[in-house]
Amino acid sequence: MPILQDDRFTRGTVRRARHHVSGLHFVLIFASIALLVFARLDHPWIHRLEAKLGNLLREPLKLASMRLEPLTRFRNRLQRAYEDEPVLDRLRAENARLRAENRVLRRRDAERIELARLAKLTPAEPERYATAHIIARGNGPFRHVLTIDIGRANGARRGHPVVRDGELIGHLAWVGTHVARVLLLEDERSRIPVVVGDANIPAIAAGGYGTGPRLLFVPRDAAIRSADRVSTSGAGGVLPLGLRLGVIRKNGPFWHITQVHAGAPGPLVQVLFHEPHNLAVVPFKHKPLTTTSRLVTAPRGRTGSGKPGEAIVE
Amino acid sequence: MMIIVPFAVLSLVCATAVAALVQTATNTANGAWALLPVIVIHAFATRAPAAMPSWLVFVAGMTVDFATQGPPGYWALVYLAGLLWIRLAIASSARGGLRRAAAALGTVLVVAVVQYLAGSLYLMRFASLASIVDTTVVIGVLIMSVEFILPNFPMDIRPGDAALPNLRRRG
Repeated sequence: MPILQDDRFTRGTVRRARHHVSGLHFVLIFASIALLVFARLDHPWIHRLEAKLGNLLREPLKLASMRLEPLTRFRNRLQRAYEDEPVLDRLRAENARLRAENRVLRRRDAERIELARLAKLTPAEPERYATAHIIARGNGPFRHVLTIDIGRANGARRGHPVVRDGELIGHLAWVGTHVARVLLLEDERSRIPVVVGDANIPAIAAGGYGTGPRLLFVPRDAAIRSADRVSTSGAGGVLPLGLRLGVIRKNGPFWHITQVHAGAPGPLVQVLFHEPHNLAVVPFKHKPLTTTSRLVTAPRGRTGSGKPGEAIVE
Repeated sequence: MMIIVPFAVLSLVCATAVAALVQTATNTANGAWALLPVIVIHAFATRAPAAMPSWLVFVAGMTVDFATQGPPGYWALVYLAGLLWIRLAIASSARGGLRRAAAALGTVLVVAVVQYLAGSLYLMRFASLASIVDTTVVIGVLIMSVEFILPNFPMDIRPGDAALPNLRRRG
């Protein structure tokens, strides 16, 4: 029996009302693209907005991260179960060797302290640090950042390294009053000067889109191999010398850095209050004019005296 | 229609909250959880378009953007592009399982392409396809499942529509 679809007295197919795309939809798409472009340009409006929201959402995010901690731990256990066995075996052997060396070093350290006491040497001031709680993880496809619950009020400053169990995981990229944002090593914008292996081969640890941290500018025919350790070189004076990043592993054309605590699992990290000490020798001078705020390159040979925070003023 | 609007809004709010919280509190490096609202948007926008306004989708996207500390506007753009495709494809998705499947597949592809383009725009170079392909496969399977599990009756019938007497007669 034929069915007349337009006849309201039959049981024909139901027709939907057509919904056209409104102008508001295109306005919102344009607004999204504009926001994306502003974010790319690091516009101050975006920073201000993120800072306000960061301070506003500090407590709810802290509560949520604590509630979801079991889920994170479960995922980390699963991830560890699937990790590469040969690298793990090699790391276990290295760990046993390091433990043996550690016992020797402890003995020598005790002797050194005793000698320093006898010679009446003034002990060096230990590096200060603060333990912070991770309240949010920005692990999207583009940014790898953490939000932690300490800020300027606790003494944190931009550039301070962030570690977990002695392993560098990133540095403070933005510091608010009570919260700060950690730029992780995996982030696209992260660049850290490092040395690799026992030969201290210099390189740059760079984050990448979906690839994790990897080594750039490795010298050709450099004597490095898988599971060599990577640590900070201290070049530039921003980060301290000798902070461990992880071990390297060849993956395609690049050496990738495998961190023990990739993505900083667990709720706590430590912020080292390491003050950059060599920034003043960078040859630039700040021109404090009302019309412009750009940095002007200093003539060759002119540098600061080396004191922290000093800049050359015209 | 009156019942479905608050239900759709509540579903999107819940999906956004779950996506934001799980994405921020766990170590999920790709954006799989952040695409959870796309499933809700597709499910309701194909069945009750009036229940899924553009501004609500934009707010959901911005919420995920700020919660995941990603570049603002990225997820909002991805969700709005998905909704735009659904609005354009809605007439063909009304009838037939094959057309519904094609519309769902189209949503998944549009979302993937916009992710790639927006990512390339933000990075100022071609983005890596690996993580986008991973998330696209996951979200594709979920959207297809939801599309065929949920009944495909229209929920946007309004007084005066030609189909109304037929539905009343069916009970």
